[in-house]
Amino acid sequence: MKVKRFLVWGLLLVLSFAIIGCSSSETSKENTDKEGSDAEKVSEKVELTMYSWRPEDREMYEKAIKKFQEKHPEISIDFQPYESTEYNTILSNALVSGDGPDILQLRPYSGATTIADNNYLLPLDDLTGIENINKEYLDAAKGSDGKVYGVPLSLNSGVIFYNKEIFEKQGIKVPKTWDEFMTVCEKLKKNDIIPIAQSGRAAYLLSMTHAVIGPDAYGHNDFVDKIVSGDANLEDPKFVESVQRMKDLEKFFPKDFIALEDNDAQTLFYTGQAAMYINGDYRLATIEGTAPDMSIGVIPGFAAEDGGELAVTTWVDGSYAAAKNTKHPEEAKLFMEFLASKEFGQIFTDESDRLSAINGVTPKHPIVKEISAAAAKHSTPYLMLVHFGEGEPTTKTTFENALQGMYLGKLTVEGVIDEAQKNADRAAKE
Amino acid sequence: MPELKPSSLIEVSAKPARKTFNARKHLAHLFLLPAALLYGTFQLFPLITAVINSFYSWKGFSRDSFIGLQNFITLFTESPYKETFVNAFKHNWTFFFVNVCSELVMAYILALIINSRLKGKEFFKTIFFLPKLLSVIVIGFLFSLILNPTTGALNLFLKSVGLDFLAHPWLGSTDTALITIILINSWAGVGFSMLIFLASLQSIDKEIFEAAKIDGASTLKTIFTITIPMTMNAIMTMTILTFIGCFETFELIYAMQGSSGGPYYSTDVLGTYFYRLAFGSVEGGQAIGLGSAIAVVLFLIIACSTAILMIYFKRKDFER
Amino acid sequence: MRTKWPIQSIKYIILAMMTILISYPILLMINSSFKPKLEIMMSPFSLPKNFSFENYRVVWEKVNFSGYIWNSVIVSGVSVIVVIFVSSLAAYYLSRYSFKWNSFVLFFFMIGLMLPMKLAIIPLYLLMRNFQLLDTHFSLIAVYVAGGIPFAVFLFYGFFRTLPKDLEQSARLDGCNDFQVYYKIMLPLMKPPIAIVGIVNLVNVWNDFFYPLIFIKADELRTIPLGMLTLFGEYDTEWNLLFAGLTISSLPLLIAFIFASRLFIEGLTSGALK
Repeated sequence: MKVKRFLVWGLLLVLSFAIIGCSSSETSKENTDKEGSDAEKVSEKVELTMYSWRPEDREMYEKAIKKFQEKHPEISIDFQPYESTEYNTILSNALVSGDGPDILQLRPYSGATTIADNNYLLPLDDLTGIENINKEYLDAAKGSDGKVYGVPLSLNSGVIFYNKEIFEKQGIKVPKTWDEFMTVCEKLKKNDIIPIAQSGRAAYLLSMTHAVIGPDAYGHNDFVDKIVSGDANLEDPKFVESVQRMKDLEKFFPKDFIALEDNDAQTLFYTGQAAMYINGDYRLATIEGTAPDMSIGVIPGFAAEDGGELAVTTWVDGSYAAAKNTKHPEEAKLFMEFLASKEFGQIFTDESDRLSAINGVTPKHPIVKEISAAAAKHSTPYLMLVHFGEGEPTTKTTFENALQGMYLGKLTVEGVIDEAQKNADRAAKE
Repeated sequence: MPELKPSSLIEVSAKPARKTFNARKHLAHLFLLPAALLYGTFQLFPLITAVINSFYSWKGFSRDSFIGLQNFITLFTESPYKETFVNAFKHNWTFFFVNVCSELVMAYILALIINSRLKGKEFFKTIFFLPKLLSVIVIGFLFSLILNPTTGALNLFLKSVGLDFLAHPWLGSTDTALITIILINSWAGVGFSMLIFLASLQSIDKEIFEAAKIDGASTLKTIFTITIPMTMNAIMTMTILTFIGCFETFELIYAMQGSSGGPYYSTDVLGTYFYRLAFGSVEGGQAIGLGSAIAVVLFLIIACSTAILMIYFKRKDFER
Repeated sequence: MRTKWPIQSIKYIILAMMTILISYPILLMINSSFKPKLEIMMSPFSLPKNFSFENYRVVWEKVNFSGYIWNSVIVSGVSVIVVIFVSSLAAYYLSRYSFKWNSFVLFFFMIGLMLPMKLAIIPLYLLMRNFQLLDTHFSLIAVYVAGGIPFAVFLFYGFFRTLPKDLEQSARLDGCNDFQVYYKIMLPLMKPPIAIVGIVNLVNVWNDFFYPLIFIKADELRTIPLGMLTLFGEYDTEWNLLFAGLTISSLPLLIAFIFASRLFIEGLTSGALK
């Protein structure tokens, strides 16, 4: 009797997808083609597995891997991207068990340090091409022992995108300083345009905005140096001022922005309801892909006074490392060399419209070029990510959640500072 | 931990089999073997290992040294761990109480309605059960769209019928986010609970109702004096299962509000707190020892409370 | 009769409102899956202007759904059958034999209901590696079966205790051995709890993405929820494709349930969980 019931169930299941299956008989042909090429790969000598948290970059990697194979046809690379939110869990499990990938993407700064300190990675100090990368970028992939464990992939920068059309229609000059920026926001708001398409449901976007507008308030690298040397902490009035500026911006954000997702904010920006949008420069490709007709410009950062140099907030996003217990360390190193080469940097920049961390790579895209040029002159780190990414919970997370609390009326500016500094003190002891 | 008497879980009228079949008994152990083996290896063993982990300090992903109860002490005495714990713990209780009201009470009412004289019973039963079949990913995505403050169907609907003042950033406000998530959880579960109650209602002898009718009892009185006591077993089972479910709740919140239980920890529960500590946020921090300690505490809470609930229901059982 | 109709209409109103409330999100998903992206954004409530399977075609091309669905069917089918079989045996044992350790054994199973399994993910992963089960369907089936056992034993146990003893006594007098008693007498009476255990486990297994995410790497072994995660990662703004993908992933269970609901509900309401 029971068996019969399950037969019925099973049958229905089979039936239900057979129905779906019918609607797409033509696609099955392509699938078999794909399988065919997979089979060829197996016959080659060495296959390296590579983990990443950016499924959206698949095409770029496929192109780059093809380039690599022109020189090393015996090595094939299996690119396995995972959802960014699940990546850490998967990677931890894979590393702990010892059958992880050969090549893995490292979270920047403290994320990389943790993994390196657990002795899961091959040191890369002697890798050909590593000398071609700025020392401060390499900091994103160092262990506590000071050795380099990763090849930085991309240099991200936090920027303000703006809708050129709206700016022209409103007769707005692109702001260069904080004060000019505030005047622009006032004007836009008066004319019923949302000045900044901010979203806050994912709290990290709040600390991203802080990273873009904050440095001007706390005084760029001088303050960062003091933080590093321990001569200043987050209770410094200059830093408080940076959080106060976040508070001041609230009136220029969309209504109920804490309930909005990044997608919603982007939609506000695409549809011209909002004039500006703050995020990493890596959103450029997304914006151009979704709204190809839109004419956008970029404010890479603010200058201390009119005519001064713009300071761009930059950080290394992720780097690639070779796993210690890979079965093919030689081949893995060959691929790492490729990742550290100008050739790969150029492919990366051209395909994804982002900055490569490798020296001498010039981006083609005019906006990327503009950011890159400005960053070369004057850049400042993403303070929270680079210097407050340690501890559990991290001070960065605590800070951005506290910002959420501030916008929801649960915390004052001082409250935000207090929560962040307390956590920083605790994390330092950890 | 108080001794659980699981045999008291379900009403027992028959005494266990007499010792007539002694000779067969050794062979009978084979009945238990497959389940015990599978469950022991793939669930209990890893769980016990994880519990042991809570007594160790951790360096990233590797177990370091035995530190006794230090993880637990940290959890309950140090900032921000203790505040986060209390906050999440309270939310678990809210989750339970609201869920009982919105899901179980609603399910019971629906079961009463469907159990009465009605057309289209099968249709309603099927429809109400459907949400249970969807994955949390699907539910999270759909409700995020529906509850979007500007483009979401709910607020647009409220505005179109002139109830603008009710439009609200449901998931983006510390006042409503938790309740909203709980209601979504109830949305998914109400059909299942209803079917369980319905099963229980249908097993009541119809003659009892006839007798009550003859005595002139009102419908409401019948429900409270006959129906509810007669279905106490189902109510008990569902309450306990709901309790366990509410304290283990994780996926829906994770899928909709992220691992921090946003906005500003307003939907943070022990499940998400555990996940953050054990697997870290995107930035990378990781505290497997502390995370395991939370899970152990979670287990103790669930086990003790389940025991108390069982004893409470058992006593009620005797009263009648 | 005249006094009854207001009550009857209130009942129907409540049921109708619940029907709308419960089916709206599902209908929204199916409805939107036929619309192009722009139409979803511009007129989210209307029916699609023309029913096009374009979204399905694109999604089907980009994501290997046929393989994913097949994997899901295998993993959930085997898990559910095994859970039912081993749990009913164990519950039969617990309710029909009076060994001293019975309450301990039952408690042993109950622990699994109370501990969050996610806690055990790292030890579990290591265990799977040691058994060389990583990247196989067996790893998934093993955790799903082990995870399903506590609830199933709990339910079957309660059910067996409500059955009268006389049945098996007479079967034994007829010369049946213990397994025959279980198989010939008890099993046929167990429709209702089997229906519940079956559906609860099927739903859990079909929709779970946590274990496949961690245990499965090969694309050809992935189950539907994993495929969905890939879809979300790569097309997070392509709502039309997401809706189509979500519909594809939910449809097998929805259709199966609509066809089998009579069986299931009958089983359920014929007296399980009394």
